[in-house]
Amino acid sequence: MSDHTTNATALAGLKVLDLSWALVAPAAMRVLADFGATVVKVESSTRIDPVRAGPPYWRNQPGPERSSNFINYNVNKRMIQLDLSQQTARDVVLRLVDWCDIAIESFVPGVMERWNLHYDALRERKPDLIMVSTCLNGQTGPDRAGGGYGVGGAARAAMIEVLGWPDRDPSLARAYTDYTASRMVAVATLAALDHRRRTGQGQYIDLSQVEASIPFIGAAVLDAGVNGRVLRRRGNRQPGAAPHGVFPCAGDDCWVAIAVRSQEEWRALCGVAAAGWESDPRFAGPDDRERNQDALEEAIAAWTAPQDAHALERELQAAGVEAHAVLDSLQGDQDAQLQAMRHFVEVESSDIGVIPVENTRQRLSRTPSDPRWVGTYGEDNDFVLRELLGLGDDAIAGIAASGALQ
Amino acid sequence: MSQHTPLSPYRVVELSSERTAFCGQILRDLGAEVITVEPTDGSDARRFGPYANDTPGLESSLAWWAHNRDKRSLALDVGTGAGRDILSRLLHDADFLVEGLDPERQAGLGLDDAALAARFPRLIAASITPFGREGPKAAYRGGELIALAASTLLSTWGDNDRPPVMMAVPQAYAHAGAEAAIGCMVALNERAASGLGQRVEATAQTALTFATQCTTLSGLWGAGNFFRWGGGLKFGPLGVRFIWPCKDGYVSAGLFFGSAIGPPTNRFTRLMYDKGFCDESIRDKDFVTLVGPLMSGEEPMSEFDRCQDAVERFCAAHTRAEMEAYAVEHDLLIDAVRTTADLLTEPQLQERGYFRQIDQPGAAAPVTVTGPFARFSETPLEIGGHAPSIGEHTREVLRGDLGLDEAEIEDLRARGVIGAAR
Repeated sequence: MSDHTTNATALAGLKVLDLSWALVAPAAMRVLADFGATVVKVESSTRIDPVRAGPPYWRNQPGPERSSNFINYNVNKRMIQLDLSQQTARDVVLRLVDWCDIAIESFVPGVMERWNLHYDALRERKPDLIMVSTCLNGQTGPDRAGGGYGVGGAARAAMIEVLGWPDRDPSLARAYTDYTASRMVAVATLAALDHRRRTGQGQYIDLSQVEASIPFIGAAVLDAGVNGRVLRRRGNRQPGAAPHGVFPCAGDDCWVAIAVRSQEEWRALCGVAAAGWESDPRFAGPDDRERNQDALEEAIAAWTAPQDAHALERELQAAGVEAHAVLDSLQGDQDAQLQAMRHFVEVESSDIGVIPVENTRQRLSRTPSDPRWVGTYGEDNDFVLRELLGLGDDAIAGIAASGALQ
Repeated sequence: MSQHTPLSPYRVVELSSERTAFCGQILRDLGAEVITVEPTDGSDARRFGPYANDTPGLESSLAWWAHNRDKRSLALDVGTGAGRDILSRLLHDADFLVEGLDPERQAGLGLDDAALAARFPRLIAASITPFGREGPKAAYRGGELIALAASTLLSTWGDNDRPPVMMAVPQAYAHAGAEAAIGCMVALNERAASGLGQRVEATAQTALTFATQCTTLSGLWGAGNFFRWGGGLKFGPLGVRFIWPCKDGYVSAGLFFGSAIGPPTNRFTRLMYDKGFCDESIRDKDFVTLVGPLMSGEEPMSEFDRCQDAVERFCAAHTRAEMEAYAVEHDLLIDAVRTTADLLTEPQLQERGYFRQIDQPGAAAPVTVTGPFARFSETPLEIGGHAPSIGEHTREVLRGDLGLDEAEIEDLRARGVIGAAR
């Protein structure tokens, strides 16, 4: 077994029962684990977490222990397998509730009630429990039932509708509400924790992933209400900026993003390009450029097409123009800035060995995060039952014999 | 503000910019008091549209209205000595500073890490920048499109025959701001033990990588590249599409694999067969186990393409409402693509009382804003106040919070240290 110790201290002593699956809540709880909380992740091999099937896979070979979607969101957690359809497993969960400060789950609404593990039942045992439930549409309302996932969330939050080209069908924003909602889960949980520390009061948090995500397009919601405008896709153009686009560069599928808002930036771009644009009346002022954006983009594309995207990025940025090569999925780890920010770190897996993952995205100066390991299926069964719950050999043997640990 | 919101005891000083607004709004929604410090001619966050009645102006930016609700505005020139002195006094009583300053500017204002630790040891100071305050791109300029490009996210969005494409609503500093807010909450809980604040740093580039769902790791993992593919995504030989045109718009519907979400796919293919949209061989595929044979080539990829063709035909023959009715009836993962206008009348959101009406100066009628991002049982979030005008609370902050008298305020005004407002 790999060494399961972290030097992170910020949340040391905090105890989290993570009953969640998929992406939203597990990723949020990984942040707490990276900052030193003891997070017990409960899962069952009888109903495999769907993210265990998600690519990219380690060395491009699929497998439940080789999925980045699982590994990258479950760093620094203690892994126990429990088949919650069994009463013995649910009894272990109740002991974990007694142990923990925070319990979090992301089942379809109604599942926790069926198991008698819902908040009203659990707070009887532990009045100051903080419990977080997150699902696509929230715990109440006509759409509470039924499964949900992040692509459907993005559809429901009007985020699909606004991604893509005006003359084409919408593009896929992936499981976008997973990414937006996950952050709000982490924020809400930690805010409730501070409140409890000050007041002794626990509480229940119902976080609808759609509701938590709509603020990310808050201005467009106001636009709909105030101006009656239904925002549609509009490519890479942004009112108030021109050029504002993605332009071809030398190579296969190579692009550079360029954004110009001020006249000063425009002059800088003209200086680098030396193509006579500064004297072209169609491009003279911001309004002219927005009006003649087709011609502007054509001229810029002709200029960028034979050039190296990375060299162009450096040249434009040095001149004070917002620009960046469009990095593809294989180029992220090559980026010197992501390296400098220590975005990629290595953790240890007793199954795979040393494996790179993404770092937590908060850099704290005094008490930084410290991602160290990723557990395998049930790797910490014994640790959780013995060390955290204080159960003895006989009790553990009884639980194992019941078949609950799967 | 009520004593019964999660962060009601705390005070935030925000040096307002496009970068800080969303982070400050999260902390405000949680109940912290937020003083947003703007230049006397207004924050750059006011210079982003859309605008109320499509009339550009510093008081009509809907981007400002959306992410500065219920904050107090202090119009202050922090470039002056007197301005910095006022900022210092505010920071002495603050729990959080939220700023988006470039490193040079940060040091120039005496807000670098060492200075803050020495002068305000309990302060939790969030820095939100495009790329970070160190490293080869620390001095890079970066707004939405640039951060998206640098995060690897942009390359996965769009059609394969066109350039990568962005969302029509800026996302970069919402993601970065949310990451910063998480960091602030970690630091707050830590401060309870140590008594000390610290620097919290978030960047747009790293924040947006989160929305790649790990594909940023592809190179390091020896995995294949991911390609934008319209309403889907292509990974190796497998192109999976999720977004489909239907009779009256679009729906999301997918063919999922595995033990947890394969069963709804099997129900979906059964439904399509029953309605005459696919043959028996598609109906009889088991999506619980199909992905392995597909990736290995044992099951030809053309079979998966046939399945997706059936989905395309099925969606094209139905309306959004019909598709969602099927989803309920057969427990399928199908959702209609909403427009922003649809949200305002969405029954689920109405039933939960999500949207709130606020009186926003500059608007003819109450405006609809997003509601609480989470429902706290004991400390419900209160969404109420309007986004401030430039310097709306300058006098209130200087008198009420800092105890300056009228003569001092008038002097500051005369010297241009504070704005002209009330």
